[in-house]
Parts: sequence; C-alpha cells; structure tokens
Amino acid sequence: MRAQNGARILFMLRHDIITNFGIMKSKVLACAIWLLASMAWAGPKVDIKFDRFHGYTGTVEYLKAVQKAYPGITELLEIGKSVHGRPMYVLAITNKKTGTTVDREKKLQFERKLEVPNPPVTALDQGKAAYMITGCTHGNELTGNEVCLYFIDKMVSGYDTDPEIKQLIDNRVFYVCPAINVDGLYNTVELGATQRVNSMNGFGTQRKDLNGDGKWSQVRYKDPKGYYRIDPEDPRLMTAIRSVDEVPESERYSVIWETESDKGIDLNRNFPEAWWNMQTRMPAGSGEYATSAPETQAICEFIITHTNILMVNEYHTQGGYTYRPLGSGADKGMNPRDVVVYDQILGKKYQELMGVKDLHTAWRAAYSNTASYAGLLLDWLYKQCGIYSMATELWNPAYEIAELKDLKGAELQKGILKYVADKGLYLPWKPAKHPVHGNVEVGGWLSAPGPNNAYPGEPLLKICERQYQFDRYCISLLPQMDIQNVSAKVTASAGGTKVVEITADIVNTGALPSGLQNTENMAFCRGDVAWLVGANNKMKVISGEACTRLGNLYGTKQIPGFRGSNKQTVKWVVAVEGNEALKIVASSLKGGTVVKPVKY
Amino acid sequence: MKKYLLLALMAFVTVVAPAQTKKAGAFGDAHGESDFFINWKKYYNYEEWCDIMQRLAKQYPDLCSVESIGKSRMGRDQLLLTITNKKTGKDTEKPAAYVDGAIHGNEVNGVTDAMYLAWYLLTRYKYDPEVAAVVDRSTVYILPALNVDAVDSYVRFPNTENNPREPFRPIDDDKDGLYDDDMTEDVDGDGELSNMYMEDAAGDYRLSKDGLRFLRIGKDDWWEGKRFRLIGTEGYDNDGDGRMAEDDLGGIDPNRVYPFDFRKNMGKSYPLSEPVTRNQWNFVMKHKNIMFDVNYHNYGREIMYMYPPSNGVQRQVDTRSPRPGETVDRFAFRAPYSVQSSYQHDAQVMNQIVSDATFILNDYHPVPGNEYGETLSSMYYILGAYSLLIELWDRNVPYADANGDGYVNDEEYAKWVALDLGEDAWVKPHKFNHPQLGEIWIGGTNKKHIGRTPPPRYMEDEAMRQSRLVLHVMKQFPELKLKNAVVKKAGNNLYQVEVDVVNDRFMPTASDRLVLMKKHTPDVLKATVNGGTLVEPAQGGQTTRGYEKSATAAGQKVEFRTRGNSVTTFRYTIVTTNPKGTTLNLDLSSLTGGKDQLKVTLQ
Repeated sequence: MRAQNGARILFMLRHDIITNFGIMKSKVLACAIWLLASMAWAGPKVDIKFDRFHGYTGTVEYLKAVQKAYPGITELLEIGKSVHGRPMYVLAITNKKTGTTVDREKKLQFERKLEVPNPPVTALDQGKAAYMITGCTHGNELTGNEVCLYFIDKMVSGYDTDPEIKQLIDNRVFYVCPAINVDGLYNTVELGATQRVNSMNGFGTQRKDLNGDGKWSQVRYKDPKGYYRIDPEDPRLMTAIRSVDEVPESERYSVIWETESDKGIDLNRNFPEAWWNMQTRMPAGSGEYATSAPETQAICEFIITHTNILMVNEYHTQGGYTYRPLGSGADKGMNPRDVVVYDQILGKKYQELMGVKDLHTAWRAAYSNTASYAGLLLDWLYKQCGIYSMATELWNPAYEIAELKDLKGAELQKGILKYVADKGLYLPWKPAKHPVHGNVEVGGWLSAPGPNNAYPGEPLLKICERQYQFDRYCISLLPQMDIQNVSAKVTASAGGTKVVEITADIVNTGALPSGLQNTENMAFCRGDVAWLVGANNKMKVISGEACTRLGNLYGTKQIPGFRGSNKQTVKWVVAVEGNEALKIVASSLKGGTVVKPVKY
Repeated sequence: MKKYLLLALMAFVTVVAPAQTKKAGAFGDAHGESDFFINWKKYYNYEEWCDIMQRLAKQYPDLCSVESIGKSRMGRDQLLLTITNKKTGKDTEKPAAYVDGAIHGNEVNGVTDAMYLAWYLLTRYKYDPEVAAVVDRSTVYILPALNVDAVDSYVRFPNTENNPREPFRPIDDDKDGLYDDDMTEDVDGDGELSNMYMEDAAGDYRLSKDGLRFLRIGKDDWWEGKRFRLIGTEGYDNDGDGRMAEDDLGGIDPNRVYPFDFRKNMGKSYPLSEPVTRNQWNFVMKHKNIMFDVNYHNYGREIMYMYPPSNGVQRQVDTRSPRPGETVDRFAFRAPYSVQSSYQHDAQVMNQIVSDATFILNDYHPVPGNEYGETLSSMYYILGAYSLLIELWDRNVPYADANGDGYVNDEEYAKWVALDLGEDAWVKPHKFNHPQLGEIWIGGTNKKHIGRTPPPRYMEDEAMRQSRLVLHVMKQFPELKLKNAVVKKAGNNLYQVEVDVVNDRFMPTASDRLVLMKKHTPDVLKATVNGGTLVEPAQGGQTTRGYEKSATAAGQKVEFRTRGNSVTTFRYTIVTTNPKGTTLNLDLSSLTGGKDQLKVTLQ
C-alpha cells in the first residue's frame, strides 16, 4: 500500500514537472536551496516539549528527527536489540569532520598478507574525549529518559547559536542512550504497565483499558491478602499497611496496574561486577548469569568498544541525590584519588546545584551499612572500565515542589495526592469489571508519571535544566591533549641524510587527569602516548622511542591531596632521508588525539 | 563396457560392506571403521571438517544431526553434532554429555579428538553393543571447533604452534594506540613461521652439525665458528617502534570470559563478549539435560577437573607422578581438599570420574581446574554438569622416553624428532633478505604439528583413548529402576508396600550443585491404587540417603533427587477389603534417569 502511494506521488510529481515546467524550474530551485539549507547544520530546530512523557515511540521519533536535521553533528547508533526485538539507540553528538586517531596518522609499513585483514580504521569519534548519559535502566523511571532528550535538544540546537557549545561539539563526543530498558519503557508509557524490569522471563503484555477512558492507571480491589487499605481520612489515597494485623481482612486491598506488566530481571543487577557471592558461590545479582540480558550485553559491548568515555551519568528516579561508586563495598575498594575527584570536585558541584547544606544529602556512595548491591552498572563502569560513573536519583517531590516543602510521612503523601489530583495525574476511583478480579475500581496514579517520576511541565523542566547544568560541568572537566613548544634542529647532515633533534611538550590542558588512578594497565585503558611519525623506511630513530609512553597526564585542576604534572617533555633524535615530513601525534584514550607537524 | 563397470561396482560394494551387521560380533572383527572414511593421520581444515560433519549426518540420519549454533565474528558457522538414537526418544529427553574442542584456535587436536568421538559412536553403532546401548539411552552434543575462525586460520596458514589462539577482536596489546598492528608473519613466504636470527660475532647461538637447528652456546663453552643472535619470531616491525610481533591478532582469551567468577584482569572484556563463546553458552543453557562436560585443550597431558567448593580443610596430597619402583596406586585419586558438606555427593562422583580417567588415559595426571572465567567452572557452577578440561598431548611422548624415567628430556626429545620424524620436522635454517633488517637467517624450529599437537601419525591413538573416557562416563549415566516390591499386612484391611528405586550407576540424576541452585528437574514417582485407598503420609516424604537403605513414607506423588549407586525405598500404605483385586501402579520418570513402571498386586 505504501509502495503504491509512493508511486502515485512520484507520478504526480512527474506530471507536475511536465505540465508546468516553466513554473517548476523556479520551484525546483527554491526546493534545492531549501534542501541545502536544511542539510547545513543550522537545520530547522526539532521541536520538543516536556509536557508529556515521550515513551519509546516518541523517543525514537525524536532521535531520528534529530539525526535527520543535524546530519553533520549527530549519528544514531543502533547498539543492540531488546528481548522484544526493539532496537536500542545511542545518539552520538560530535562534529563528524573534526578529530583524528593514531591509526589515521601512523600508517603501517606492511599490510597483512594473510587471511585476516588489518582491522578497519578506528572511528573518528574515538579520537575525542567522551561523556555519556543514560536513562531508563529501569523501565518506569521515565524522568531519566526526558533528561536525556533535554540534553540532546540543548546541545544540537545550541551548535549555531552558542560558541561554547560549538567548541564542545567540535572537540568532544557526547553519547546519549535515552533508554536501556526499552521494553520496560514501552510497556510503561505506551501500554500503561508500569514495568521496572526487562521482559526476559515471559511476556504477554496487552494493552487493557478497563473503563475505556483512554488512560492507563491503577486498579484496586478487595483482597484479604492485600497490603493496602483505603486511607480513612482521604478515600482517594491507598496507604500501605505495615503489618497484617493492622486492619481487618475485609478492609484490605490489593493495588495493581490496569495492564499487567511483563516479567523479567532488574537490568541494573545484571552487570559483571560483584555478581557472584564468592563466599557462598551463589548468585548475588539478577538473571542466570551476569550479562544474561540482551540489553545488558549491548551496553557492555558499547562501553568496551568506546574506550574514549571518561564519565557516565546514569539517570534513575527517585530521591534527589546522586550515587557514586561503590555499591558493592566500602570506599577501600576504590583508589583514593578517585574518591577525592568524586566527592570534592563532582560532588561539590552537585551539592551546589541542589542548594543543600551538607554533601551527603545530595551526593553519596551507594554502599552503606544498610545497603549493598551486586551487579550494578555503576560499579562495573568504575571497577572494570576505568570510568567515573555516577547514578543520579532524579526527583524528590518534597524538595522540588514549593507547596510540599518540608512535609514528611503521611502529610507528604496527602500533599502529593492533592497536588497531582488537581493536575489530573491522579484519577478518581471508578467501578469497572476486571477479567480476573471481577468487580474492581479503576483510578489512582497514571502509569506515566506514576508515583516516582517528575510531573510533566514545570517540575520536569526544572529537573532537566538542573541536570543539564551538571552535565555541562562534567563535560568542562574532560581532559584534552595538546602539543606545545615543538622545536627541531638539524645537528648533522651528510648526503641526503639529516640528523634531527626534536623536542616537544605534551600537555593535558583539560581539568582532570587523562585517566582514573592506576588504570593504565587495565584492559581497554592505556596511558597517553606521543608518536613521532615519518615513513618507516625514511626515518630511523637514534635516541628516544618512536612511541613514547607518558602514563596518564594530570590535568590543570588541583585535586586536593594529590600532585602531578600535566606536562611532559619528549625528545627524539632521528635520522631522516631527504625532506621526509615529520609530525608528532599525541594521543590519550580519554583525552583525545592531536597532531602537529615538525618543521626542520 | 558398461556391464564390466557394473560388475566391478558390485564387486566393490560387496567388499566395502561385508556381512558383519551383527551386534556383538567377534571381538577381533572390524566394527564399521570402513563404513565412513576419515583419515586420522591428517589435520583437516575447518571447511573439510564441516563437510565431514554434513556427510556424517547424511549417512547416519537416525543417529546424528548437524546444526549451526551461531556465527563467529568473521561469519563462519559453528557446527554442532547431536548424536543419539532418535527412535528411542528426543535428544533433550535423555541424559547428555557435551564435548567441545579448540576454544583456543591453535589447539586443533581437540577438533580431531571431538570428531573421533562422533565417528567412533556412529560407525560402531551397528556392530558394538556397548556403543549401541549408550547411543540408545543418552545423547552427546559435540562442538568440535568452538573458536572456528582461529581454528581455520591455524590449519590453513603459516603459524607457530602458539598462534592464533583468540577470536579476532582487535585489541591494543602494547597500548600504543594502534590495534593488532604487529603480528607474526611468514616473511620469506615458505609456508612456515619460524625464528629470525642474525649473524653476530657476539651472539650466543650456533648452527647444529646437521644444520637443522640453532643451539645455544653456553657461557663458558668454546666456539670459534659462526655465531648468531636471536631476533625473534618471523615478522616485521610494522609500526616502526623498534619491536616485532608485539601486538598480535586478537587478545581476549575465550576461556577466561565465561560467567562464573569472571575477572576483568583475565577476561579483559565482559562475560561471553566473544560471539563464539556466547553462541556456545546459549546452546548449553537451553539443554538442561547435560550432565557431563569435556573441553579439549592442549597441552600437558592433564585431566583438569572441576571440584566442588572447599570447606577450608586442605589435604596433604602428593601430586607428583610416581617414579618407577614406587608402590603407589597412581590411579587412586585423592582431591587436594575436602569439600563443603552440601557438596559431598558431587565430590564422590568427581573422585570416581577422575580416578577412572587417570586409568583410561594412563599417562595423564589430574589437576584441579581453575574457577575464574573458564568453561568448565561455569559448566559446573551454573549448569551443574560434572566438568573436565583435558590438556591433550605434550612433549613427554611415551615413545621418546629412552631411559624409562617417565620424562622426556631435551636430548631424548630431539633424538625422537630426528629419528622418528626425520628432517621433515624442521624448518631448515636459510638465509633471507628481510626488507627491514637486511640479510638474516630464518628457521631452526619444529614445524607446527609437533610440539603442542601430535604429529599426524600419532593422533588416532590419543583420540581413541579420549573417546573411551567419554563413553565410560556416559555408560554411568543414571538409570532408575523400580525393584524389590515387598507387600506386608500391617493390620486389619491394612497393607504396606515397600518398593526400591535403584540406581546402580555412579552418576546421580542431578548434581548437588544443581539441587543447591534449585534448578534441577526432580525425579517423580507417581502412585495410583485400583481397588483400595492410598493413605497419604502425614508429611510429604522426600529423602534419599545415598548408599544406606532408608524407607520413606510415600503418597500419590513424590519428588526427589536420586544419587549415584543408591537404593531408595518408598513405603505405601493402602486400605482395602479386597487385597486380591487391589493393585498399586507405580510410574517413575526422571529427566536424566529414564522411565520405569511397576504393578504390584497386594496378594
């Protein structure tokens, strides 16, 4: 049908062109100009509003629209497929023409003759330092998804108007994965089945709208085994009961969602750090083994193939604070310099943005005396990948909404209820028929936002904006390689051969060191290197190493209690045949790759 | 002309298929070896093995099927054979062994040995009652080449015995910003990868008298002839950093990425990051009937076994091989530690398997396997299958042990290579003009199928013994029988029936590990009574006590796990006024232990 329509449109166009050729000429010209204009990076802004949750469909539509409108600075990467076969996307934001990598600058003398070809040239974005944000590891934590979309909107639409953003997009890469648990997101927003886990242990969610109001909300029904009761003061509110004896059986209720969700595992317990309890040799994380879920596997593969990522912020709800590693143990499992960077640099900024008095309110380790987690993405990134990872628990109604300030416990619950009922986010209970539970009442929370997300509109925007400020701060800390003070002099020459002495300073002009503490030897990490490049058969190194290893250079920002230099001087003496062009390539995995020619 | 041809053909057919289709034929007879030809004195490449697998499945359609469990990074199919008698039930409904080879691409004798098992079972089925019983009752899944890309590369192209091992994921081994930039390469194009030497007056090598290899000159030795300096393995300095072959193909060891106790410093990436490993793992996770796992590696003549977790008590075990004259029973295996109480039966079973393996493989010695990220540990700890990793072959060639001390020293080894394999075994040192180094010498090493893999003519004996081991364990897969029904009159109109569930094999129906993980499929004994009433026991009866005989009150349905070498008694209480007309019908079914039925009449 679609093909037919297409053919018809084509035919109509042809018809038009033939009959109105004269007019068409000018039309075509205008069209071409418009096309050119839209292909330039100053494309028409892709509108996005935060007065609703976008869900999976809305998110993918938006990502595709952005990729189409900003082809020069965005790339939409499909990184894997969910249990239901839905594509998972990462949007890479960077200027696709800038940057370089070592293998682009340093050509091998012999290509392999054997059956396995040399690996393809590394992607251009690997030569730039990267910052990544992710949302919706848990399907019902929708605020994170919106925060990611807000970040994309700010960055891409600022490219032409804000020179600071242009500078960032030219020299850095931003990876945005708005949703990891795409099935959970889809089921929550599109089908109304609030779903935290993925869908791997049986699925069968079908949209149900019991009372035909076109909205997906909750169901309450009398159940002697239920753990809720109708609040005596406000019959709209369902309060959880602490013990079974608290209320008589006849007053107990169960509360479920209008649509039943799929069953699956918590993706944020399925990562390979601390997944096994090696004392008992029993699983501590979720799933049958670490990375058993396709979604987890896709994220792992993306992370290890994008080694330029220095920081990752995952967005969860709710709480109004940020977790830093570790979740599986105390701080003694971390390198001390990293703890200082976390608490005194990153944490301090977050505390300032939240406007709270003590750090602990806004920023803390996930592990505590009462909580220990296995298989966290947070821990895997920090312990095994050498990445500053953070997990922000967005949204805390008692903190964000003026009317609810300083309320606690039951008071707060009632305050929230009044607020959301007024805004139409909490529906009055109405009788309906349920296929399993018979006579029930439908109403209560809408599945989006549900009780744990920022309310669309002003509250959501406020969260997005604050988080964007924090992202920008993190980005401002990324390391950046630079080559300074290059000098070269010919110390001897005979026939066509010259002996050249070259010195240069390799400098990290970024704020943070080019790697976490003691990560140089970790797999998929490395220290910084400085290559002197000339054709293999025309340049012979006499002293110094063609590839000089520098370790991870410090940054310009003081890390309290730690010292290091952000500059190293490298020296080579080489014999060069003819006037072979020489250049220096300074490369850091997480601080970018830069090139400078050597003039002698 | 045509007629003669036909006649000749008929004559040929009669020669090829002699009339010996009887099972339990004479011991000295052939057993179907000529029904399907495989040259066991040749290293086939992966494509050829694939063709053989397809043809096996075609020739033995009732016993064998072939499937691809997925594709490798370079797009090759990983072919897997399923061998069982399809007429006696589906492969997934029988206890199964899983055998794979060459997770490290260079360990290609694992492919041969795994294929030998398939060939041994299929060709002998018609002739050998022992094989027929195993193939009728159980399943074996054989994945001859796990790491298909590297296996293919190893056999077809010039390589050292150590390369290539890993799947081809580009890794920056030397951390210089370039990926897989400096690999070993056949510089002189003679089809062999050898060492490079340079003439150097200060070098510490010399040519041997026969001119086949380079020998080290001792510090105080006198030598006035030509001296050489070792440069390294054949290759180029592709990136011009002054080093050679420092960043070879790949870098992730596939036998460190398995999910149990995955460690980043060994596995480098994340669990099952390599497609070949994930395909294999997805396959075994779907086959809960796998009870026994063998992974072929080389080299070292070791039986690496996965032993249950320790309770912290170490034992004093003499792990060295006994010397001649020592009166040690070298096959009586003792584990190096005692295990946690909940894993006692697994320890018993493992002891038995390892003891028998030491006897069957004879010159192999047992070594506890590693837990971190290896296939065998995940197979035991996640799948609950008893696991062995066999390190095939090494230079302790029995034929070379001239002085009979159980070890082959350098001298004996060199002599064996010289006398048994001849000049053909060496890459003869020769001059070559290297584009970067100038005039050098290349050669002086053994060719690839000598050190880590047996020379082709020695393959079959080893492969045959490996197949015997797998067959032996498969013969011990559990087989549950209902036996010894005894009827007692316990009172007025009250009868008691005691029935034994007997498993006379040493393998249980599920390992302790599987039971602890709550993943096992329980054995089920269902009872119905015609003409009377079955009294349900006050408590659900569920116990097995290993070797002791213990009676358990039972009702209409009991679920339990049966240990190896065990007898479990179930006691039924029946009320009836008409014992003659009353029968107790028992129906026993187990995923791995088979099915059995029994009808007991009260009088």
